[in-house]
Amino acid sequence: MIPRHLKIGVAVMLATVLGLTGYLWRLKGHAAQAPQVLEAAHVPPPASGPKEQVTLYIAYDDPGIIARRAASIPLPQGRQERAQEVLQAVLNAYLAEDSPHAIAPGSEIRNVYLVEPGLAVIDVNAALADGHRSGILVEELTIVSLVQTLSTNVPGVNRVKILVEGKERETLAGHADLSTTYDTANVQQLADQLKTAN
Amino acid sequence: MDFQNKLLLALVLIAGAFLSLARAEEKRIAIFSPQTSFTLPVTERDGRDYVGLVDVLEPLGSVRATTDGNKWKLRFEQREAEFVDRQTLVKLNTKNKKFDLPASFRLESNRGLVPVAALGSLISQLTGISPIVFHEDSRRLFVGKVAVRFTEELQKENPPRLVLNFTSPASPTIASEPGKVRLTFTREPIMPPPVSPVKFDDAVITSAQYEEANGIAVLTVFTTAPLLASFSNEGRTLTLTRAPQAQVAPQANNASSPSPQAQTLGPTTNGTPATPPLASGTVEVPETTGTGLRHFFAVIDAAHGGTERGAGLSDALPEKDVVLSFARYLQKELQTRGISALILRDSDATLSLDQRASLANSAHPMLYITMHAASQGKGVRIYTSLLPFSGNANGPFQPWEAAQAPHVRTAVATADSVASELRKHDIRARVLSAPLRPMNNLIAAAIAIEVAPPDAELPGLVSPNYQQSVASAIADGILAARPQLEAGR
Repeated sequence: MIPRHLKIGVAVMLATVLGLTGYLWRLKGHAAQAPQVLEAAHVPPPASGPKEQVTLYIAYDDPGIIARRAASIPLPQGRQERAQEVLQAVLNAYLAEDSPHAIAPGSEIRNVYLVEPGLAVIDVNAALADGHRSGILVEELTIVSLVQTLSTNVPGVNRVKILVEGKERETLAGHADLSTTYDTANVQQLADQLKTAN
Repeated sequence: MDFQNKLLLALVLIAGAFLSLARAEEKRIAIFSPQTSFTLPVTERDGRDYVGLVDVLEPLGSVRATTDGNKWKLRFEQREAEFVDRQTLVKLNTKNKKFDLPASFRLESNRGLVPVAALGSLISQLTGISPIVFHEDSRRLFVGKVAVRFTEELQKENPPRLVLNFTSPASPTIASEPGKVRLTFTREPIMPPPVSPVKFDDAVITSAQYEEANGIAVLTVFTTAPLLASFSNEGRTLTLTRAPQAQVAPQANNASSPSPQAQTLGPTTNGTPATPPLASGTVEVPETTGTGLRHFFAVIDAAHGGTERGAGLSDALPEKDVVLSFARYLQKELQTRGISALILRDSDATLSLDQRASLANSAHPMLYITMHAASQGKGVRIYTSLLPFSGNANGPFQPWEAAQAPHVRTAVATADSVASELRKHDIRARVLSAPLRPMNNLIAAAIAIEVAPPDAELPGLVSPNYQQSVASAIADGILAARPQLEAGR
């Protein structure tokens, strides 16, 4: 004869296990759905809001330099959205007909995440990385112009990580390291080196 | 003998057996050609030594192999040959000739293995190159006119000196043991002297003996006193002299500015470092171990390779091929200046960035050079790591991601020196830092060199004259930076 209190204990434990299993199942379902929701919600941010002065660091293949340029672009309110818009302005300059540093058509900033303290994550789309020209200088011009533009326009950013379609890559197009997190002070020094072609 | 002693003995025997097995597995063949020198592993089948034929031919020219059932067809340049698995007969299509191997051909996973014993005559038939000299016992194959010969002359001065004159620059690894100095030639196609051993009528330098084994040549000089070694004549002359006695560093400042052509041999017979040498043109490089020297040695890494083509400079011109050509030119130019250089990727092999760093670090070079090529821009760009300089605060253990940090200043000095020499050769040069792996993982000064065409035209990049000129200027720059590299070590 099994004591009554033991039966009750086992029943409670079984109920707890079943309840937790159901809860975990729901959590898993939510987690699986989350990226789809984000993907569905991902559209290029509208260029709305009042125009503001920003500083862009633009690469010039000939003669292989980075130049600082002032620009006036419409910026949204949110800090992350503003960061994304500023970086997209850099890519737009590269996608233009008279591009000083041509990149692949369809290149886009998917997202910018500002993670405390001081870390920014730039997520670019596959078109940018897959279609990027290969070479040490040509790749580092892209990296420096993005990182330097971000750190100049978004105060407090001192480290930048670049992802492609949300994932880490070894290099941008065979050369420039994407496995590392860039220290903006080091990139600033490199930008200084790239001011002139000498 | 109690149980513990028996157990210890058994462990020692097992370790000995493992060591001997490991040694047996390390059989290698060395191949010397005008393009490059390299070694390959030798495998045993039915008690005979075999080597992969494509591995042998790949650095010598264009080679392609196809498998058709049990037949294996090989094309080298314009010549073709057909092998059949487990058969000795080889058909040479171009001359419609047949050739018998001393043991059967092996086809394993589409890889053609040929007996090492047949290599001399087989390479001669397949390539048409002459002369082919094969030292079968020591597994050293000389393809073309590459042989480096040397003479030994004992000059009975005070102190007496043994002068070794080589027909081309040589840079052996020098190690001392009680009573002898050993010169090991791994990369040079050294040929045996007419007589060996040679006895000298001298109380200090008594004799010299030449031996070859497992792809390596060794000259052992027997001595009764510590010897000092120095190079001159652009690496063509190596002089061994008795080290001066009882001299205690009166010119210590010399040690910080070693002569580019000097290497010294320090250890005495009891294994302690020798006193500073005072011979003209030589300075002491402090010893780090009881035997051997700190060797000035560069690793050239031809970037990309195998499935990783690098930049497509044109439809038919991948970066991986151009950089290999540059790497070979640079190796040759460094060697003519008496600087040993090893090419990390001397074939179309795929190597990961971590593998490249590990291989280079294990060779302990003074300088690591990764070669790249680009169609954008003009001239040559020299890069150093993007890491900021930091002192060697971590001692011998460096974080993998920042291993280059203590060497950044030396690397920048070397890059500046290379750029300066390039400009002297009227080649546009620029020094930058770059986020380029595996430079951050190197425990020696590391530079990357990206060669672009001399003008707007891409064909200029592959012009032999341009490649030769760029390699020559880079080698001059490295030679000029040698004091900084040695001091920064």
